[in-house]
Amino acid sequence: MKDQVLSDLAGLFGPDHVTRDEERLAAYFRGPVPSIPLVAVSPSEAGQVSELVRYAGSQSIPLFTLKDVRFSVYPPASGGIVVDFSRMNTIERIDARNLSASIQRGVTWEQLGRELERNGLKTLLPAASTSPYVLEDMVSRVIMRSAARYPEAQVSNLRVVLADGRVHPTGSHALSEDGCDSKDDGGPNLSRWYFGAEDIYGIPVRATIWLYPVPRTEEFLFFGFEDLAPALSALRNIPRKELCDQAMVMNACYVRHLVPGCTAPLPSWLFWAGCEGRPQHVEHLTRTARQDAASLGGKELPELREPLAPALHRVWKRPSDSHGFYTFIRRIPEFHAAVTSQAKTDLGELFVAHAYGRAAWCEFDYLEPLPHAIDATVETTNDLLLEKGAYFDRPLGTLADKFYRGNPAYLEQITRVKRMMDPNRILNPDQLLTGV
Amino acid sequence: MASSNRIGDPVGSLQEYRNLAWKCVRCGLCRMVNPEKVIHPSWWENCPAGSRYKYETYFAPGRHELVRALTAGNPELGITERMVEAVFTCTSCGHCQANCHPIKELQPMNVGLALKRHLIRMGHGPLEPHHVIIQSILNYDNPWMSPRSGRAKWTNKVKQLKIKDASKEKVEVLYFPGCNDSYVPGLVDVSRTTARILSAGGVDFGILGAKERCCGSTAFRVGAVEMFEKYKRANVQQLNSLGIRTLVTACAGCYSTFHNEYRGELAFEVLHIVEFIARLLEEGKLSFRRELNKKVTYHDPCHIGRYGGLYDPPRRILSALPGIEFREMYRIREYSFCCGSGGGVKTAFPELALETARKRVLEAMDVGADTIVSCCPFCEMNLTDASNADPGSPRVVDLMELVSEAL
Amino acid sequence: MEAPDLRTEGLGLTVENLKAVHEKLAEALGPEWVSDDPAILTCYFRDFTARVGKWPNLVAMPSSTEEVQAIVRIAHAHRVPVVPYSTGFNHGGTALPQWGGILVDLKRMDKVLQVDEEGMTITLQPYVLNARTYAVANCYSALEGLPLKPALPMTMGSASTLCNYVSRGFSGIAGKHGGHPENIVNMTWVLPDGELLKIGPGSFPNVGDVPIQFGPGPDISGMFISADGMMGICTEITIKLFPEQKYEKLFYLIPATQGDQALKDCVEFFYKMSQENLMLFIYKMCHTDALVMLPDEMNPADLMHMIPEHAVMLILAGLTEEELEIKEQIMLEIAQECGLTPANIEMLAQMIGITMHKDMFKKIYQAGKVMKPKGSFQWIAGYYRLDRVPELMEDYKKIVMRYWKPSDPRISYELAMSGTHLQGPLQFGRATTIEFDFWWDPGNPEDVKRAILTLRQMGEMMMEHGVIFAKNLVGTYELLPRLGVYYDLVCRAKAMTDPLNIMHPDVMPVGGASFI
Repeated sequence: MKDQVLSDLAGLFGPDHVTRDEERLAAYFRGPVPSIPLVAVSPSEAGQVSELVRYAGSQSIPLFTLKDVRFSVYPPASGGIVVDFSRMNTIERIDARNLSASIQRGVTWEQLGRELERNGLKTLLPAASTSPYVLEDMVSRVIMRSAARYPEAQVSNLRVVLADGRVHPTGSHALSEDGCDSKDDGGPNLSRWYFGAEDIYGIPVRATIWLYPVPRTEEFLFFGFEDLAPALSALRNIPRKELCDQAMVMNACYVRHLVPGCTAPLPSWLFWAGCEGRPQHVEHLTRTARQDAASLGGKELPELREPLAPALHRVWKRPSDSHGFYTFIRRIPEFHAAVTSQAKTDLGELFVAHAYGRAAWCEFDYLEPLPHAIDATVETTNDLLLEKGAYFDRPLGTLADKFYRGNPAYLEQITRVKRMMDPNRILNPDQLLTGV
Repeated sequence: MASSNRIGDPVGSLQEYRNLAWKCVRCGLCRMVNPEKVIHPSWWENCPAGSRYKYETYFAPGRHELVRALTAGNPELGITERMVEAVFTCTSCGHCQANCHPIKELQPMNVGLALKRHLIRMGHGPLEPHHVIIQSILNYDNPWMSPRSGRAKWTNKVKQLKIKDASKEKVEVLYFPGCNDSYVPGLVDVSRTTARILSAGGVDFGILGAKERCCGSTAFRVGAVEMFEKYKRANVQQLNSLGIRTLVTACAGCYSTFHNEYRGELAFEVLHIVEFIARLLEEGKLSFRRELNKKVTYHDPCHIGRYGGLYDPPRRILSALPGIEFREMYRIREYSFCCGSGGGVKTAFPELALETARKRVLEAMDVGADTIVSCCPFCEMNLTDASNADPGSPRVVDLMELVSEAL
Repeated sequence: MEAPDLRTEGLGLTVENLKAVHEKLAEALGPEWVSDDPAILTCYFRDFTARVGKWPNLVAMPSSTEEVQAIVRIAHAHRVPVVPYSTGFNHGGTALPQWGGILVDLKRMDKVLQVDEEGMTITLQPYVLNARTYAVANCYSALEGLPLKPALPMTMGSASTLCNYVSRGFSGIAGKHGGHPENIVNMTWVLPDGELLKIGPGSFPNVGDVPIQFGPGPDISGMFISADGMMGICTEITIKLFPEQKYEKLFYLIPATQGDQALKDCVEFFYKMSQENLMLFIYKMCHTDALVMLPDEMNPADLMHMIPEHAVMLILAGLTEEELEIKEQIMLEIAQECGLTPANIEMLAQMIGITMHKDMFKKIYQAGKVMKPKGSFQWIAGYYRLDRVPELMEDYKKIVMRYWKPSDPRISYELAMSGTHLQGPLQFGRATTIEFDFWWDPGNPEDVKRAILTLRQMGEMMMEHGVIFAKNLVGTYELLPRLGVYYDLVCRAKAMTDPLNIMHPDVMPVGGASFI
C-alpha cells in the first residue's frame, strides 16, 4: 500500500483509525494473512464512509466490508482497504410507538439487546448469526428463530453509500424519515437489491430495523423424539396451525454446542417451540401444541427449560464451517443422509421452520475439534447438496461460482446491475462471485 | 315484468347509452361469473364471445367503448368488419348485465343490442344468414322456410288428445309451441309431450295450429327491430282476440318475447310451461308414477332465467320426478353459462355456438350427469349438436320429455 | 454521474415499420391473434383513472411465455413500444399506452399452473383473476381441515392476481402476512430484449419452488415490482398461500367520540391490535363507504346517525371456537381501552354483504359500487405512520372540499363525495396504507379537470407530509423525480434494462419526454 494512500487515509480518519498492523489484520482472516497490500480503516460515521468511497474510487483501490468479521473469499492480489465499522456503534433512535430503531452498522446484538430491554422492546433473534453486528446479519437475511411466524427480512430501511459516494436512503426514507419506515420504495422496489448482495452494490451504513414488544407471556416447549421423521412432522404441522412463533428441531450434538454447560440427558432429536402473547392465548396455544406433539410420539421434556435457559434470549451463532440452506421439510431426511454420509464426525444439526412450516432452514455444523481436511469435506458435501437442489442462501467462493451457474440469466442480471452501480469494481470485488 | 337488472327492458338508441359508456371502467365483473359465485376454479367464464375471441372489444367493456366512440361529436371510429363481428357474436345472454347492473347500474347487454340495431341502420346488417331468417318470417311466418300448413303436423301423432282449435273454440289456455317445437325434427316431440302433459293435467287448452305465427323473437334478437315491431302488431291483434286467460309455451324464446317485447300489449298472462306444470303439481293435478333412473343436470336457459327469473319452477319439477339424481352444474341460475346459440349466433357463427355448447356439455360431464335437461329449444338444439360431436357426452332432453316419461 | 438520456431519435412508429411488425407478429402468433382494427384498438386507451393514453397501433394476444418473448423480440428489433395489459382495471392508468406501439393483451394466459400444498404456493399466469385464485387455493390444504387461501389484494374478485402482486397492491391481511412483495416466491419476466429472466428458488436446478423469498445473492426481484411494465412483462408468478382458519368473526367497532378524536381513537386501536398480532383483517371505514354500498331503497340520510364518520371493521380468526373466543375477549379489552364498542353487525353485513374475510374480495365492489354516485372514482394512497394520520386528514379535507360537493341531495355533509380508509396497518402497525378516494364522472370534462387538479394537489400535500406513495398513481408519478438518489437509480436501472426504451415508455417519467 503506497505511503501516500496511508497518509491520505490518516487524513480522513485520523492516524489512530488506520492500520496495517499484521496482528490487527490477521483478525480478518481464517488462515494466514496474504502478502498483499492491505490496510484497515475505522470510520466513525456515514460521512466518512462516503469520503472513503470517493477516495477509493479516485485511486481505484478496492474496498472490503466484511460481513462475517473475516474474509469468506480471499481478496485479490491487488489488495485494498478493509473497512472496520466497530466505531459506528450509535443507536440513533428507538421508536417504541412504531416499533422501529435506526442503528449504525457497528451496533452489536448485545448492545442493542441491552438498550431495548430498558425500553421494554426486543428484536427477533438469529438462529444462525454470522456477524456480531445487527445490520450485517439482517442485510444478509440470516434466519431468525421466529421465522415460523415472522419470515420476512427484518429491515425496513437502509442508508447505503454508493460507489460514487452518494448516499441512498431506501424505501420511504428516500422522501422523509418522518413519514414512516416503509420498506417499499416510491416506485420500483429496487432497494431490495442491497439485501444479500455482500455490499457489492453499495455499503449499508445504517439500518432501520423492526422491533417487537416484549410479550406479556412466553413459553417454550421441548419434546424429545428418537427418530427424525416424527420430529419433522411436528416442525411442519405445528406452525401450520399457527400455534407457535418459533419451531425448531435440533440434534443432541447441536444442543450441547448451543449450551455447553448442559449436562441433562438429551433425546436424539429435540423439537423446540416458542409461543408468546397474552397469557390466556398462550395457554391455549401451548395446550394444543402439546397435544399435537404428543400425538406424533414426542415426549415432553419440561426439565430442559432450566438447562436451556441461557440460550433462550441470546443470539445463536453459525460456525464458519457449516452448511446452511433452505429446503422443503419433507426433503430434510434426504439432505440429512447426504451430509452425514460425507461427514467424518458428528455434526450439529438444526432445522428452523420457515413461514408456517412451509419450508425449513437446515444447518449442519462442523464443531470443534474440526476434523482433518475439513475444507475438502465441506466442498465435497456442498457439491452433493448443490446437485440435490439445496437452496443456499449465501453461497460464497467456489460454491457461489457453481451455484449461480445454475441460473445464467440471473447471473447476467446481477452482473449488469453491478456494472451499473459500481463500474470501477471498487466495492467488494469478487466477494459475492468471482468477476463480479 | 322487467328483470331487476333491466334485462328484457326496451332498448334505447345508441346515444342514450353514451353516458353509461363513460362509466364503464373495466372492473371486469362482466367478464367472469360473479366472484361470489365462483365455486369451481375451472368454471368461471361467463361470456361466450369474449371467452372465444379474447379481445376487449368482444367483451362488455369493449361494447361500451364502441358506443362511446361512435357517439362522439365527431365519431372516433368507422364501422369495420371486425366491429360487426364483435357486435353480432354477442348472444345477448345477459350474464354481463346480471353482474354489472346491481353494482354499477350499467346495461352492457342492452348496449350490445343497441349496437346491433345501429349497425343495421347504418347498412351493416342484418348479416346475410340473419337476412334469410327475417325474410322467412315475413314470407312463411317462421324462420325455417317451411310452409305454414306444416306448422301443426306434430299433432298427427297425438290425435287421440283431440286438441282444440283455439281460433274456432274458446279455451282457457292457449298452448303456443312456437316455430322450433313445431318444425324442427327432434324438437317436435316437445310439442307432443307438452300437449300430453296438459291433457293429463285436465287443462282446457287449444292451439292455433297453422294459424300460429312466429312470435318474432329471432328477428328481434338479430337486431331487426323495425321489422319486428311491424310484425308484432298482427300477433297482438290475433292473440288478444282469442279471449284466453293464459298463453303457455315451452319455448324460452317465445316466453321471453311475449313477456318482455310484448309487455303491456297482451290481454292475458304469459307463462312458461315450467311455471304451469309447477302450478299443476302444487294443485295435485299431476302426479308421477314411473322411476326415471337418470343423473340429471339442468341448464338454465337465458330466456327464462336471466330474462324471466324462472329458476325454481324447473327445479321443483325435477325434484318431484321419481328416480332423478339431480346434480347442479357450477354456473347456474343468474350465473348460468349461455349455451352459445342466442342472439342469432347459432345461425351466423355456428362454430362459436358449437364451441360454447361444448364447454357447457363438459361442465355437465364434470358433475357426473348422464342427461342435460333444459326448457329452451335453442339450447337443446345447440347442446345436442355439441353432445353429438363428442362421444360419451350426456344426452340432451327437454324437461317436458322427462315429465311425460314419468307420468 | 449523469443518468443516461433515454430519448431516442425515433421509435419505429412508421406505417411501413408497423406493417412489417404486424406481419411478423401474425406469423408468430397466428393472424387471428394480432389486430390493427380500430374497433379493437379503441378499447385500450382509457380506464377508470384520469390518465388517458393513446391508441396502440397493434394489439397482440400471446398464449404463452414463448409467444410473449416472440412479441418482444419483434418489437425490440423494430424499436416499437410494448405495453402489457391484463384486465385493464388499473390503479393509475399504467396499462394505457403513452406512445402507441404494441399492446400485449394477456387474456389468453389464464392458467393456474401449479399448486403446491407442501410449500403452500400457487403459480399463476397473468389473467388468473382473484376469485379464481381463491377458489383454486381452497381446493388444497395446509393440513386436513385447514384449507389454503391467498393473501388477496383489496380489490375486485375480477382483477388479476399476478398484476396486483407485481404492481404492489395492498393485501387486506398485510398486517398479519405482510405486503404483496413479501409473498412473491418466483417470477418469470420477459425482458425488453425478449430474453427470459426467472427469479426465485424455482429458477435454480433441482431446488423446486421452496417458498423462500430470499435466497442467494442480491434480491433483484424488487426492480420489477411496481415498475408498471417498464422493465419487462411478467408471465408467471408463484405466490405464497396461507392456512385458512375455520372460525372467523367480523366486528364493526364504533368510537364513542366524534370527529378528530374518533379518528385518533381508531388509530390507537389499530396500534394496539396490530401489536398484539391477533387479527386477520382490520380496516378503518369512513361513513361514505357504508353509504355508497347501501341498497338503493335505503336512504343514507335516514341512516346517518347510525353510521359514524370513522369506524373499524375487524376480522378475527381461530383454529377452534375456543381460540376465537379468547381473541375476541382480548380484542374487546383493547377496544374498551380505546373507547370503541362493537356495533350491530347484522345491519352492516346486510348493508354490504360482508361477513368473512373471503367475502372481502368477492364483494369488494368498492371499486364498482363506489362509482355509482357519479360513475367512477379517483384515488391516491400511500404508506404513513398511524399516529400522523389525523394531521394528514385535515389537509386532505381542505383540498377535497375545494373541488367536490355532494351531488346526492340526501347526503348533507361535505365529505359525501370522498372517502378515506386505513387499509390495515403493515405488520405490527409500523405503518398503514392510507387511501383517499373521491368520485367523479369521467364523461364530464369539468370533472376531469377537477380530478386532475385534486390529485395533483393531494400528491403534493402527501409528499409534504412525508407519505410515500404506495403505487404509481395519477397525481404521483410526476413527483417521482423528487426522490433524489433513488430516482436516479430508477432511471439508470431503466436505461440498463431497456436501452431502446421500448418497454412502456413514459409510464413513469424516467425516459425523457420525446423520442420522435
